Amino acid sequence: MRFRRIGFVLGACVVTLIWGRAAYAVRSGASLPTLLTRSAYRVKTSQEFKNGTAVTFRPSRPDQTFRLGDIEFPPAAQQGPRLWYIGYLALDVDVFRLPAGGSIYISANTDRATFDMVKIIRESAAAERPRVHWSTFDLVRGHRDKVAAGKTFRLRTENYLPYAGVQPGRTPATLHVEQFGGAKLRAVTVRGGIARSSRSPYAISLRVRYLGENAVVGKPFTAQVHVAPKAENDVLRRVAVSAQYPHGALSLRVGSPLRQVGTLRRDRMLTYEFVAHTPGKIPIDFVVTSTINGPVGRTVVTVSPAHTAWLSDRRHQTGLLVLLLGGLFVAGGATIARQRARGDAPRAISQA
Amino acid sequence: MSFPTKAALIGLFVACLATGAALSKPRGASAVTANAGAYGIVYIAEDAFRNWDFHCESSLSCVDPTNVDWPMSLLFWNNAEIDKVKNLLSSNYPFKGGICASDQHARLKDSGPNDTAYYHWDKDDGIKSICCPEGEYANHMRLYAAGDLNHNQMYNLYWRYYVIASTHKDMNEPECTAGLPTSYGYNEDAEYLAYLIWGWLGHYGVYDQQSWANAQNGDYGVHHLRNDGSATTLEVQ
Repeated sequence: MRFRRIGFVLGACVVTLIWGRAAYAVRSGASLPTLLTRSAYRVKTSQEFKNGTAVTFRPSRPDQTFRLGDIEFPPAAQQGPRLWYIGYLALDVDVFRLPAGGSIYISANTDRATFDMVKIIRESAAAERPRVHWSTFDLVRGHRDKVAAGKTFRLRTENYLPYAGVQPGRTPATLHVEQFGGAKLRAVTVRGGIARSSRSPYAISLRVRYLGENAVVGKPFTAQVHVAPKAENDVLRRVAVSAQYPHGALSLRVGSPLRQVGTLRRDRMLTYEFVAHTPGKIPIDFVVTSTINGPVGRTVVTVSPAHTAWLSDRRHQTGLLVLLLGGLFVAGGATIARQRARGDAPRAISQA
Repeated sequence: MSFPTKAALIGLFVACLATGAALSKPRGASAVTANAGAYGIVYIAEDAFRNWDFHCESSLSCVDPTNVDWPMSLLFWNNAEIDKVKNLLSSNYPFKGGICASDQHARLKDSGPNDTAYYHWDKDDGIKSICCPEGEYANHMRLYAAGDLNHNQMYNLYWRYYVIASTHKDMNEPECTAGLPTSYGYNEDAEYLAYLIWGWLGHYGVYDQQSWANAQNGDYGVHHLRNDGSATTLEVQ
């Protein structure tokens, strides 16, 4: 009897657990297509379109815009530099017709500023059994290019909103469907929202510092280039820095313009020693490449001609100033002494 | 062989060589050399592109002011993609490829995750208002974006999804209309016309809004370069 009672309690627990898990799965699946890289992007808050309800749109015209809902941005909202807004969508796409040369574009906007674009075409016009091919590009996952298993397929997209897409207050979010060349979308079901993240779309910081006072024709000058991951604990791979400059105007004293950094965990400094060959304003660009975004830093160096080089040196300027002051002092002293000497001499008095 | 016959044969040989050289020149090949002050890179956010397109794409040695075709002068932005823009303009620029137009090449960089390449080459033969214009000018536009095949748009937080383009006019191209005086160029007129067409099609644009620092004017044989250095921005909604 006791064993039967224990068995009943255990069974009830198992049933409850299974039901609860299933209920949770249904609820979470229906409410929010989680940002795929949610933890990596340190999402702080998110607002869902239509409270997370999936909405199906069936375009009846080749070019049609649908309302996804409103986003309530905070009063002082702006895109970056501390907090960044990322739009995310889960799309269930159902293609009705896709002839060769036809194409379908699905794009999403906040305040008419596009943050997401999916292009759908036939994989190959010549193929016997053509398949649906979709592609997209964003700052979270870069370029993606896939062939769908059938005419219906599911995809997720995430992208940083453009600067103009983040405005304080209520902002409409829309979905835009465009169909060309006889292509026809039967329906698209959308869930999604806007998340707020502390992670910048620009993953690498770049600082350039020139040492010394002035660049002079024929004399070396040094640039210190600092690269670092912007977010803590980020590890960036295949990082390289390349210096680009007009080759007739400058040359590197040592090494190559391309420096391989490899894996970047914290601030790294690279030193470039240049020699200028011509005077004037010379642009030097430092371009960082990596497996994530790479910034470009444009600097302009003013190079003085060699004959003015002596004067452009601060030590020489100070020396010259001391010399001038000394000269003035000596000349002043001599004048005063001469005037005193004149005062002692009898003055010529003109008498009319 | 008498002297006049020999002279005639030599003359014929030289004429053949000259004709061969002229015909072997790629379509749209230009004697234009970009001035130092008009040749450079345009930077926006972490993206960058050369402000002229080039005749070749095989190596870095192609990136040279002596290899340029025409200056970049149009920016399609917000929701732009190369094939989409071509579709939107198809009523006014219905021709492309084949005998109508040949490839030129742009050098661009669009920073994004998993994009390990630095600069990409992109080629386009473009779209054209008339295929073989005889005695009148055709408007020819080539559109470019960084990336591989099927990567036909770029993105940054300022211009959103965008592509860039060069545009010029062509008349009596030797491949189509031999014997008639050939003329290429007038880029500023072609740019202004693209702006007007964009407006007629119901889209928004601003003429000469972006400085891309590629102003250059001059006649180089049959190439009449006219460009004020500012690009027109055309919004795609």
